[in-house]
Amino acid sequence: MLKMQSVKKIYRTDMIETHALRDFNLEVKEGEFVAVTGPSGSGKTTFLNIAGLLETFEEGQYLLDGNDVSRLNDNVRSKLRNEKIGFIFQGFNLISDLNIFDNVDVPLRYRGFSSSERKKRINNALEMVGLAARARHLPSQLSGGQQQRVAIARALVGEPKFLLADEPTGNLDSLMARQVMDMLEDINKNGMTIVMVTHDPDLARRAHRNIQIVDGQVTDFKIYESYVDSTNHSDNAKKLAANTI
Amino acid sequence: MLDVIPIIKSLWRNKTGPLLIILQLSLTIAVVSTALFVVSERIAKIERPSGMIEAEMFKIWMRENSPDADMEQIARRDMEIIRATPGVVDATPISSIPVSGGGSSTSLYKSPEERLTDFPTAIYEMTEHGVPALGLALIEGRNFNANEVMFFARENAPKQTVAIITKDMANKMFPDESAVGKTVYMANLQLTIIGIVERLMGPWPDSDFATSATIIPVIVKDDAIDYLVRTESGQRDAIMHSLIEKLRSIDSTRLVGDEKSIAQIKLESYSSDYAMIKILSFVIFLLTFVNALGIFGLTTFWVNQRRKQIGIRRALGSTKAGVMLYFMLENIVLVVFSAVVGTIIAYVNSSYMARTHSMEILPLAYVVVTVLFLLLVTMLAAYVPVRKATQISPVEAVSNV
Amino acid sequence: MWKYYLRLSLYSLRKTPVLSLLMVLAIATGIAANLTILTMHSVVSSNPLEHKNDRLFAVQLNAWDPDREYFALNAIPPQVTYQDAKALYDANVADEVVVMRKAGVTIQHPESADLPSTYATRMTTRDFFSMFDVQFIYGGPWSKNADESPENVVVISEGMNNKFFKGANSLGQALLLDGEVFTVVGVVSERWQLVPNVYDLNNRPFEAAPDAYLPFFFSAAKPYQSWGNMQGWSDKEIKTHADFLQGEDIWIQAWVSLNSVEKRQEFTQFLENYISTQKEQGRFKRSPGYQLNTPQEWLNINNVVSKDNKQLLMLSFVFLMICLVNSTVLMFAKFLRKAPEAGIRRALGASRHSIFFQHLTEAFIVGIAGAFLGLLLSLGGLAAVRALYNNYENVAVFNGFTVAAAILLALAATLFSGFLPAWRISHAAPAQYLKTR
Repeated sequence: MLKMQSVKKIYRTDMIETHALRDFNLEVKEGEFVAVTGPSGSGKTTFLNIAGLLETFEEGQYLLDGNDVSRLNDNVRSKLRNEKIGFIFQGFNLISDLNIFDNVDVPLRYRGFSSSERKKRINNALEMVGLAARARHLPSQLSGGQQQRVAIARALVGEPKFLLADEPTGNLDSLMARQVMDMLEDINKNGMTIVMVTHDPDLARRAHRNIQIVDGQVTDFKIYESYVDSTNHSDNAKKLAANTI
Repeated sequence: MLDVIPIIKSLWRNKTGPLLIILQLSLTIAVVSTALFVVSERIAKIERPSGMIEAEMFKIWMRENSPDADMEQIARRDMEIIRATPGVVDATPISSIPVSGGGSSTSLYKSPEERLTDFPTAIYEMTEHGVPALGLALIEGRNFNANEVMFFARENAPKQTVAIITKDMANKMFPDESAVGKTVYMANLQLTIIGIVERLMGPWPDSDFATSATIIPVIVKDDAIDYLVRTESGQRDAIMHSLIEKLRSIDSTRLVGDEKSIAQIKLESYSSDYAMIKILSFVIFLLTFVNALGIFGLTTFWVNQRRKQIGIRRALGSTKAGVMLYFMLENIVLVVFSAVVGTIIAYVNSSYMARTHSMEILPLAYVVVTVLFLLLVTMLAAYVPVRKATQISPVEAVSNV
Repeated sequence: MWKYYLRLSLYSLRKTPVLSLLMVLAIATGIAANLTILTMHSVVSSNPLEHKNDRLFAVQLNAWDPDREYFALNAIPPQVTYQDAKALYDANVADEVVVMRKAGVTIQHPESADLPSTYATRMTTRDFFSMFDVQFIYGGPWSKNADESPENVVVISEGMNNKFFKGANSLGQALLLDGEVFTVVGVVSERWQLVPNVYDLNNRPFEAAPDAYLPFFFSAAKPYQSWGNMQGWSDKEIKTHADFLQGEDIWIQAWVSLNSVEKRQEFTQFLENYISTQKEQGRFKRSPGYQLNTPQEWLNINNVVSKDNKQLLMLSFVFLMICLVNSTVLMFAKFLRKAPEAGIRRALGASRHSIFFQHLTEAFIVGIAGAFLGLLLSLGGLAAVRALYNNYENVAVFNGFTVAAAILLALAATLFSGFLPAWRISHAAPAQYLKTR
């Protein structure tokens, strides 16, 4: 699904060069749930940006879904990002001026679907996360957990191949964080590949596999062979599980 | 003032916005300083004294309308009527009106044979009432006598007469000695200079010899002539209208009309200068306005964008005055950079105009005044948003927006 | 997609109403000023005889003072003497020949008790009417005979016809011109107006068409009151009107039309011959002896586009630029503040193109609104120009050119003021805006 070989990324400013990633190797298989940990400044975010085709890199190769995406132009990368990748952020990153419906609509707009198709998908996605009734609300009228669920709906509405999550629970209290994690697990069980960056070891443990990045390199990884938590499925997550793909 | 270096560095890091503002301000400085200069030149041109007591004067145009009419008789009789009118100070028939844009000119020579050095001059034909009627200041010699005044038909042109010339004309022809008593030549007419007036403009204010004029007391009997009338103060318009009625009622062998005050005539002949003054003043006003709006809008945004940074500064002990000072210094830095660029643009343009359109080089004072003015405007425009910035509480530094 | 961009842009503009208004005002002010001056300039610099530019020629003859060259324009007198005008006319070489002058003539209805007034008339040969495309509502030019041995015929303007005959067909009616009876043979439409009036640029290039036209050669019989320029250099005494006609004073405008290359050669040959015979009589001592100018050349030589006109044109463009930069700065600030949103859109699959065009659409709406408002404001601007210049009634007029220029300026304004901010925001690295704020 996702394979990086010898990736090197350097940030240059007027005075200094920072090697954000060096000889970075990683493979994520289809259906895996991978947690990426590491101290701040280690290159976690850089890895996520490169994986999400938001940034380019100097050397190495990146295979996405079997295709080399290392040296593509912006239009093609944007199209891939739009069709194959879903993003979830710590800060939710909803567009505050747009209501919930229009926020979920954004990726579909760049896809060029007909308006009836978009409407159908948006309603489905909002239903999944249990927020269909809030479609006309603005993000600021929702709680943090609800906002993150909208973000998840937005990430999934275009039926991507894999999900990139950057500290998805970082801004949430523990109850809401658990709900969101449950939801992610359910999504994964339905076949979605998920790569999650986090600094929380408890959260990381719930993934199949842990990767640690230190100084721009993968240092070691642990595999939790079959981690299953059967006790904490929320109603919303069940609904979601039933509807996903 | 050590604060300036970090301000410049910070501006440079986000250079596109500041560079655009500098482009806008420097073009404004170039345009406004040039416009100010042109406006002041035009005002100086319009306000050049004509030598006449302009406020109290008007003219009437007269044309004979019958083949048997004798212009001398008509003019002399009309003059008696005009001068007898209460409120009229004096009046004269005159061949053309100063600063009106229409009249006649010729050249004077110092000898009848040597014709290479000519002295171009406007020519006014008027009677001995001319000097007092126009209110000219006779600074040397004397006015015409009544017996020197003569109306003539073209076929009986006089060979010689007397003349009064302006000081500028006298200085050009006789720089080292008094012109009074000298004999000069105008085509076939020999002139003896008997008087010099301080000042009298020719009919064409733009001409090279606008201040050279020659007055002669011999009036050619064409079929039309102007009357120039001076009234006591405040009575000009009333007398102008009543006189026209009176002159029309007594005689239909001639037409009278086209009555206009000298002020009106000046307004017309300087109309393009007045237009330039108004247009350029409006441009200066608009540019000030546009720049003020721009600075206001931009500062508002900058303040909003840097709320957190300002909060941190406040939390670290910066006073309200310190925040104000920071933004105002930033403003000054921008204006100073713009002043440098704007001065260069202004001078490139000025030297180009000087070469191609023979215009004066822009005096530096205009640029300095413009820069100071613009500095004031930008500070005022920035004041409201910056005051808002000083209200930002240090708490904002710690809270998540 | 365009509809989506349009919706987002309108939404975004509504979110910051004050800023949007400032941007629109800035662009509108610049465009209004520019349109006003541009319109004025397009009229001032136009050539109403463009279609005849290859055939019509203003004739300059250089019989000026042997001691010094003519003091203005191209150093050749802009008008000709009576004797030369007569020679041009009598030679009958050109396809059309016009010799003419401006005169003040008292005109009166014979039965009216009103006081007479004096009007601006053109004393001319009949070819004037065909050469300068004069349109008649009644009648037409007088005959060739009326030119040569002048008959008491007059062509009047529509305005005069309204005044004296209440707009009725006045052909054959009588008018008193300087006390003599003339018969009306034509009435010129008030629609006919050359702007600038190329045929006589001596005084005001933008004044209204004449009130009446009468045969030029009446000027030989008696001295009509000249309302044009008369200039002389000779000392020869002028005692009588005959002396004046024989003299070296210049006061007549001369034009010819030469419809073929052969005609042109024939006419220059004639001029050269004429000048060489005149040289034998001691005239034409300066060189060049003559010059033929097309209407466009004539407009240029006479500086119809004044120094002030040129300066204002330049100023209006700099002014527009300042206003556009101002709007760019504001747009820049606004777009930068919207950068996080653009970052999110990028993450969700928007390409740089999409972001660029989304923001260009916003700039475009501002540009269109500014241009429209500017167009309205320029109506006021043109009215102001008409009020400021006392002979620009025909100049500062709203026309198709203004509208076309407004549209072009709107596009240019959009590109100029929107391109940089839109480019900048579409090229910002999206990742930096996605971290927790």
